[in-house]
Amino acid sequence: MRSPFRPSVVPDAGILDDHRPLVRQIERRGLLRGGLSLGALTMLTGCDVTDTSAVGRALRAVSDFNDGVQAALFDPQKLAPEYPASQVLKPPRFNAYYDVEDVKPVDGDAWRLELGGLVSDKRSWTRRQIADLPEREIIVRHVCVEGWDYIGQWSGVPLRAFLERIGADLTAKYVAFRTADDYPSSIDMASALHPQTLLATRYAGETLPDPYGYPLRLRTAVKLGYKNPKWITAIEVTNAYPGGYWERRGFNWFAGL
Amino acid sequence: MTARARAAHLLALVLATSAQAQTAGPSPAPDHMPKPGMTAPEMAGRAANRFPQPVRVGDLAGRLLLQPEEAQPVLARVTGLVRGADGGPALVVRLDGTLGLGWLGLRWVDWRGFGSRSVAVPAEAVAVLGEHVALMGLTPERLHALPTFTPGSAPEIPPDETIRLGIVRPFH
Repeated sequence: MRSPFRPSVVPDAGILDDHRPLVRQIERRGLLRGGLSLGALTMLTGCDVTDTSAVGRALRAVSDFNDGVQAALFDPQKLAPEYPASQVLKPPRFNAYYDVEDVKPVDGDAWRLELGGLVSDKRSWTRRQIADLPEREIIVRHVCVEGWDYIGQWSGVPLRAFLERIGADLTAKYVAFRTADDYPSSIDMASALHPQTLLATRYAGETLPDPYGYPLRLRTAVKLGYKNPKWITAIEVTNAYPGGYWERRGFNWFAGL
Repeated sequence: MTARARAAHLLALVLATSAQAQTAGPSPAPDHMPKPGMTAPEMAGRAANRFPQPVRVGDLAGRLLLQPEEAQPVLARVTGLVRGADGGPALVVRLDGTLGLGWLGLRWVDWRGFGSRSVAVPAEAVAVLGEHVALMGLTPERLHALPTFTPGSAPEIPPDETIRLGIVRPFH
């Protein structure tokens, strides 16, 4: 059985006709009261929540509502549990939207981190410059939306410290990331400033191996795994909703833990 | 229905499900799945492309060997590592017996029942999948066709030694 979290097949347009009465019911009763039926409908149709149909729009609205609730409940001071080094999984799990054999390693010497948006210093950064910044280590649980998890040991520059260093507008809404593997992602500013959100450069004390995002990736203890982009090439601070790779395919944007 | 009849019905259901659980049905074969008849050089070539990572030998014992398909069926359990005839590392894995009760999750049972035996799988044929390993270079049929491994017939690799194994993403 394919994971229900990876909708990839566009449903036949006739599905909407099949469920037309239910769609009318959703429109009539409103989103909240129709929530239960929406879930059932999703099971029935396997529909892509990004479609522009009434069902798609309704599901999108429920997802946005969930994002809002999660953001309201998020406590920027509350730390995620940390674990002893003896529990660290080596090597960590690899995951991406493609097979590991398709990973294209990044040349760390030629690599530059570009900056954009609401930051006062937009100069790009080299790997060495980032390595000179103070770093922190976290041993936290990585939780994947697919249902698996593991404990990982990550080191790197706290994103808060980096954003302060480049003069980012810390009142902006979003921090967005671009990556070498075309996996755009974004998180809310509160999560970006959380003490357990790092621009990670090492795993278990060693330089980040190629398939895990060398030379720079995001590692945050307050988000699901898919909110941790690897091979970051650019960071933008913005008030315009940036979305992300999986969010465009129907996943929740906030994805908090 | 009497209590005895209900018990008999339940037993029959369990045995039937057990038998079904052992038989993976036909499934499409994506690129990552082992091709029947894959040669050793082909296997090694694919393994090299999976970004081999250092793994402590002692950390491999006890891991499940999974079949690379969506349901990720358990094929065997790693019991140790040895040096193969070519000097390369091989994982000794214990295959379930013919009743295949491993799927029940009875991990406290050291199941050595009917037909249970160990085989040595070349390291190039597997890849690390988180806390498990996956059989990437051999089909389940070829795994079961491997000769029975006799303890002491090959030098063991000490638990503190490190080998390199390719990695692979989940098959969901």
